[in-house]
Amino acid sequence: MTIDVDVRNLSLKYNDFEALKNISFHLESGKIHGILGRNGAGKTSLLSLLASFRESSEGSVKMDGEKPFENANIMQKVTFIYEKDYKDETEKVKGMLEAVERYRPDFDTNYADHLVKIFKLPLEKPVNKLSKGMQSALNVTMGLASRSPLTIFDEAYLGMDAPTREIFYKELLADQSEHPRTIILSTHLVSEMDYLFDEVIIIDKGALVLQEEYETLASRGASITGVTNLVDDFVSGMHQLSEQKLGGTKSVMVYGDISDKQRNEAQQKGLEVGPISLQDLFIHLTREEA
Amino acid sequence: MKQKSIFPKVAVDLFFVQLTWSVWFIGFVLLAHIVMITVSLNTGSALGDYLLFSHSSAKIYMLVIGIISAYAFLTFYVNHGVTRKDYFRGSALAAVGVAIAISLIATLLSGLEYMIIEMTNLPVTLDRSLADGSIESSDNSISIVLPKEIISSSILVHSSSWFVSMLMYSLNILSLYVIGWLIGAGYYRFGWVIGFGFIAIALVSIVIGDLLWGTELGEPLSNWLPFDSISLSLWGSVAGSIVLIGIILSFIRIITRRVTIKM
Repeated sequence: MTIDVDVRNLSLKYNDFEALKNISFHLESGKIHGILGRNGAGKTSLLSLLASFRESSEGSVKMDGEKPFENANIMQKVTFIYEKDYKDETEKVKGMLEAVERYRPDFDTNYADHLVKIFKLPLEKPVNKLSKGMQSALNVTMGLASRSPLTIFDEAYLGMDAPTREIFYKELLADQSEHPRTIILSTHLVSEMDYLFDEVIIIDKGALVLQEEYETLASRGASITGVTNLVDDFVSGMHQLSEQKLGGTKSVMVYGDISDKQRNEAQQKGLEVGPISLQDLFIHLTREEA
Repeated sequence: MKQKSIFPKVAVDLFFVQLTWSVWFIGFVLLAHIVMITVSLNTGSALGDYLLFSHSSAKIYMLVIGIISAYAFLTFYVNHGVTRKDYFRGSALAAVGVAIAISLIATLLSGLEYMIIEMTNLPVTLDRSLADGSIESSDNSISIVLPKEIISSSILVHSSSWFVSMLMYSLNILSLYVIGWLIGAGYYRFGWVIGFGFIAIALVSIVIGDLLWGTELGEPLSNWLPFDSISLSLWGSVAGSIVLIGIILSFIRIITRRVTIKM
C-alpha cells in the first residue's frame, strides 16, 4: 500500500524567517524520492510538514487527496524517522519496538526481528545507553518494519558507520521491492545514496530548485573534456556548472539536454562526453554565489 | 476505509504506564506511613490513616506526573501517527483512570490498615481529625468539607461515606493532574517565558479547587481574597470540581489542538 503526496504553494515562516518559499511538487506513490539540500535548506521543515508535526503558513499538503494534518486516517500511514534526542529514553530497545508495533497497523514483527539481528541491536539495552549509530539503526528498524505507506527518513543514517549505512541501503531496496511504499530520503550524503533514488528533489534556501527523475537528471548533465579551445567552443551557450583545466586540456561540466547531434559533433572534434554525478550536480546547483 | 478509533488504545497504554509509576509512588508513601506508625507506637501519639496521610502527597505526585505527561507523551504519539485529538482523549481518560486507581488503592490500604490494627490489637490510634492541623483550628463557622466528610465517617463502617471519601480523593488528585498537564502543555507550546503565565493560571486553579472543597487557603497569594473559604454542599463541591476539571481540560485541548510537535 502506498500513498501519493501533493504539495501546493507551500510556505513556512518562523517569525520573520522564511524557511520554505512557495514550494510545489508531486511525489508519485510507490517510489523512492531523494530530497537533497544543504544544511538549513529547509529539508527538515518540509518533512515535518509532511509528517503533520506542524502546520504550514500558506499552501497545502495532500496525501491521496486528503489533508493529513490531524487526519487519523492519513497520519497513521505516515512514519517520520529523524534523529531523536534519546538521552532521557530509558525504555529498552524491545519496548520501543513493541510500542511501534502497537500503533502501526502494517508493522511486521518478523521483519523487525530480522533487522534487529543484522543491525546487531541489543534488545534488552535501554535506548539512551546505545551509541549514536545504534540509535539510528533502531530508528531505521522502526521505520522499515512499520511498512507505512509513506515513510520519511530524514538523514536517518547519522552516526552510522559505513558498513551499517550499507546494510540500511540494501535493506531499504530489498524491502521496497517486496513491499512497495512511498519513501522519502533526505540526505546530503549524495554520492553514496544516489543509486537509491527514483526521483530527486533539490531544495535550496527554502525554495525548490528542481524535481526530476534520477535517470533523466543523470543524463541531463555531462562533462565535456578535451583541448581547451575546442571545449570552450562546444560549451558556449550551454549552462556551465564548473570547469577544470590541466595543461592544454579542459573539462567543463554542463547542465541541460545534449542532443545526439551534439554528441556526434563532440565525437568528431575528439571531445569526451562523460556523465556527471548527482553529487556534482547537487554541489553546483546549490552553490553560494560568491 | 475508516479505521477504528485509536484513542481507547492510547488511554489503556497511558493508564498502565502511569499506574506503574504510581505503584512506586504508593510504595514510598506506604513505607513512610509504616515508619510513622512505628513512631506512633512508641510515642503513643495519634495518626491519620493512609487515606488522609497520602492525600497531600498524592496531590503533589499527580501535579508532577501531569506536568511530565505533556512532554513525555505528545511527541511520542504524534510521531507514531496518532492525532493530537486522540492523544488528548486518551490521555484525559487515562488521567481519570489513574486518579481512580490511586484513590481506590489508598482506600483499600486504609481498610487493610484498620483491619490489621484491629486484629493485632496494636495500640495505635488512627484518627483523621488529628492528622490535619487545619481541622483543629477550624473553630469558625465556615465548614471544612473535605476533612469533615472524612472524619465523620469511618470508611469501613459506612459504605456510602467510603464511596464519598474515595470520590473526593479522586476528584482532588485528578484536578491536580490536569493542572499539571496544563502547565506542561503551556510550556510545550509557548516555551518558558509564557510558561510562567501558566504557573500563575495553575496557582489560581489550585486556589479555586481548594475553595470548592472548603479547605482553608494556605497559599499566601490568596490573602487578597475577601473570604477564606466558601461553603458548598458536598455535591456542590463535586459538581464544582468536575466543572473546574472540564474547563482546564478544554484549555489543554485548545493549546494542543494544532501545536507544533517538538523534535
